[in-house]
Amino acid sequence: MNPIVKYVLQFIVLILLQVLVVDQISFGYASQFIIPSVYFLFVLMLPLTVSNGLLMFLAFSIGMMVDVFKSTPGMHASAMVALGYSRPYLLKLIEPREGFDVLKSPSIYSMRKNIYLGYVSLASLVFHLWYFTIEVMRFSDFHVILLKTLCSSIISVLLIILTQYLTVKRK
Amino acid sequence: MNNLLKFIQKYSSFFLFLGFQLICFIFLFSSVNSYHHVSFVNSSNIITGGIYEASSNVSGYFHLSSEVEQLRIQNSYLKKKLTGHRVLIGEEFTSIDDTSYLQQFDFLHAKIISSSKNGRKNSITINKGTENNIRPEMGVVGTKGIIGITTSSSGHYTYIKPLIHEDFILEVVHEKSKSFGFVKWTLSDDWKTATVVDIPNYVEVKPGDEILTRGSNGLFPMGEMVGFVLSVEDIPGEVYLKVKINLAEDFSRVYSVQVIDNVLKKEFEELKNNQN
Repeated sequence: MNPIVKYVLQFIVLILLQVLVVDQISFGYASQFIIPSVYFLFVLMLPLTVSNGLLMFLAFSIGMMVDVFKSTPGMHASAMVALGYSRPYLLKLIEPREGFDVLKSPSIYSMRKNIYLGYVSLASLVFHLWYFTIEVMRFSDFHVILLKTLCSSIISVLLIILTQYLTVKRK
Repeated sequence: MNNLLKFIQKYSSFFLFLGFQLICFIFLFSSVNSYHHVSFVNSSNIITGGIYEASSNVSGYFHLSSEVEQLRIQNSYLKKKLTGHRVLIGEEFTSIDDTSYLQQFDFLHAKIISSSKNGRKNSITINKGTENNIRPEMGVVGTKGIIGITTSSSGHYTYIKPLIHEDFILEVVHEKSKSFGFVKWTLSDDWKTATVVDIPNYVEVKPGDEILTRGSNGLFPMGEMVGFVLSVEDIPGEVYLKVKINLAEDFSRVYSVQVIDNVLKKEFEELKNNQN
C-alpha cells in the first residue's frame, strides 16, 4: 500500500477508535482518574526519518481533530505538539547500542518488546502529564495531576499494546 | 544578524514547538469563562455531529430499556403535576393558546448524541439545531434535573455546556430557607456532585435539602431541580457556607433532554440593558 494512504487511514481510524470506542469505556468509580487515550499512537508510528517540523504538524492536526470531537479547544492539540516535540528525545533515550533500523517505522514487531514498551510508556507519560496539567491548570493540585497521569497512562499503554497486536502485521 | 539566523536554525524545532503551542493556547483561552464567546472548535459541526449521530443510532439500542424507564418515571411525575392540563410536545416548540394566560416557557425534546463526563471541560451534543429554533443561551433540562446551557448550534446539532463543566455557573436557591447561592463545578467535584457557594452561614442547611434553580437569568424556569445537599462545610472566618450537592441528573446515563425557550427573554434582556 502507498505509505501516504496508509498513514491517512491510520489517522482516521485512530481518531474514530478514540472517540467512538475508547471514550465510551466506563471504569466505574475510577473513571474520574482513568481517561485513556490511544490516538497518540499515530505519532509514535510515524517513520524514524520524518522531519521534526512535519512530525509536530501532524501531531497538531490529529490533536485538533480530537479536540473538535471532544469540544476541548486546544487541549489535545497542545499535548500532542508536546509529544511530537519530545519524540526524538524519547527515541534517543531508549535507543539500543546497535541503533534502530531507520527503514522500519516503530512498532512492536520492528523493535525489541521491552524497548517498545519503554517507548510507549514514556510517550504516554509525557502526553498525559501535559494534558492533565493544562486541564487542571494549577500546580496546587499536583497530586491530582500525577494520579490521573499514572492511572490513565497504565490503561493507555495496555490498550495501545492490544491495538498493536490486533492491527500490525507480523513481518 | 548572521549569528541570530544560525541560532534560530539551530533551535528551529523548539521555535516551531513554541509556535504550535501558541496556536493551541489561543484556542484554549478564547473559549474560557463566557457563554457568548465560543470557539468554533466544538462538536456541533456537521461532520462530527454526523459521525456521533451515526454511532448513537447504533449504540442507542443498548440502553433503550433504561431510557424508557426514565421517561416513564418522568411521565407519571408530570401527569401528577399537570392534572387538567394538556401538554403537547412535538417537533417544534409548542405553546398553549389561552388568552388569559401566557406560556412563558416552551419545551423542545432532543436526543443526546454524544457526551463526556470525566474531563474538566465536559460537553454534550444534541441532535437538534437552528432548524428547530434553538439559539445559544437556552436552558436544557433532563428527566431528573438541569443539564446545562446551549452555547452554539449548527443546522441540526447543538453543543451544550453541561453543569459538569468548570466554567459553568448558575444562580440557585436553597428550597427550605429560600436563600440564594451559585452552583459551580469545582475541582473537587466529579460528575455526581457540584458545589453551591454564597449561601450565608446563618442559614440552616441540612443534608438532603433540595437545591432548585432561581430563574434569575431567564434560562430556566424557577424551581427546576438541581440537586440535593450532600454535606455542608462552615469554613471558619468566612461568612458563606460551602455546600456540596448530589446532582439530581445522572450524567453517566442521560439520553433525552428538553430545551427550554423563554418567550420573554428578549424583553427581560432589554430591560436589563436599559438599566445600565
